[in-house]
Amino acid sequence: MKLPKVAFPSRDGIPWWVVSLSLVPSKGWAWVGAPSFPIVGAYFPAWLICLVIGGIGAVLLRTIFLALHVDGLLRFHLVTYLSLGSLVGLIGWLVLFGQ
Amino acid sequence: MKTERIKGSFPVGSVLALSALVGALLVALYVDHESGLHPDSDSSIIYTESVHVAALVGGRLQHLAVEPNQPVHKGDLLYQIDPEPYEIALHRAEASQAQAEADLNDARRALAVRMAEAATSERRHHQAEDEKDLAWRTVTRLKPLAEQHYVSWQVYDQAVTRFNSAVDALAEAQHAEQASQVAVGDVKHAEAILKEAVAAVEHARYELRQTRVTANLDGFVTSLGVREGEVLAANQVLFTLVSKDQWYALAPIREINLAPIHKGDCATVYSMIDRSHPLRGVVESVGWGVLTDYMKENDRGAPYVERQMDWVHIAQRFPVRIRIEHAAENQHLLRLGATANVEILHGAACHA
Repeated sequence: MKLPKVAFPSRDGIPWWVVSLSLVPSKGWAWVGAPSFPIVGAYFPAWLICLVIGGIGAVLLRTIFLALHVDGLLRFHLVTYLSLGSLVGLIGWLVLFGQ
Repeated sequence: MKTERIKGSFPVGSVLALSALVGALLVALYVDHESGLHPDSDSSIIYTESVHVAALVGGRLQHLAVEPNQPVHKGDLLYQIDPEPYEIALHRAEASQAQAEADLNDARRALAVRMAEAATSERRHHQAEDEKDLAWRTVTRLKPLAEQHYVSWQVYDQAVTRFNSAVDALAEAQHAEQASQVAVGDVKHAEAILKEAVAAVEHARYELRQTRVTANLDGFVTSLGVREGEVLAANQVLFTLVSKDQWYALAPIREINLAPIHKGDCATVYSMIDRSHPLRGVVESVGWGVLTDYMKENDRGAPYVERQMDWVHIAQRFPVRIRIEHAAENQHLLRLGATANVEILHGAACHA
């Protein structure tokens, strides 16, 4: 797969998405605040939020893959989507709370 | 939907599944490693020192100068206990002191009289010695005259008797002098009583001062629930003063995560009063002991061990004390006992 050359402030040799991820400043996620979320008077831990993000991510990926006909290429659907969901959740953790 | 799988071609599905699995595992390990380096706790509390405010003396609460939750400054009057009984006690002590002073003056005068008496006795002693010497000289002078019958033996015997009387009189005068010397004594007793009276006055003044209770730190009044008129025992706590000089977060950190924590480490503290506002903190110390229910000390001193065995043990947590910097500017976020999130060596406040 060949990525299109983009007029994005990319550095040579580094994929554009890595640059854009690293360009997201730590201050940019400061609005997230404390790693604990109040829901009707109780504080829910950050990892629970990441679990939800992972679950939603898995469902979204499944929908996208179905729409793009990628789903047909896959085998071991349960393992694949579980792993992809975990990845999304873990990366969500790193981005939101990992700084 | 038509799905085709070409036999013998590259197994895309299996490779994707495997790479997703391996990727997820690797990222999970990385996240676990990172979390181990940056211990955090979402069950911390905001903490500060507090002082139980009590008067050292008892009495009726005459004037209460503060309201619940009011900020106070060091030295401010908090409340006043009815000073009248303590004023009366002070007057009584002062009267006792005046009496003791008068007694001391009396004792000094009596001492002067006794010293004069002792001086008189001394002079009488010298006088008696002189008279004894004179009597002896008379005896020695008369003896040869009596032997040659120039004077009668009667005269000589009278002289001897006068000499013996003079010796007795001298012994008497010596004893009288010794007695008067011993009787002089001193005024230490009266001085000691005066010292005692002075100390009693100081104590009464101290107790009178203690009827005014002032704030010994800058802080806030909490748990105040009485009004003027309440009768207080000595040392009875009326309310608690929460210090605002220095605030802390107490973060319970699992023992397995204590290793990277050192004094002076940066920490991000979120008070849940405003969870979007990171506060910068500095690790001060890690608690050296917590009470555990696994082994309890009892009266006999022998440990009580529960007769059961768990397969899975919950990690013990130790409170890490984190000093919050710039507490004065963020006073609205700091209340004793507020829930806090703490990220050590980590978080928004540690990047700035």
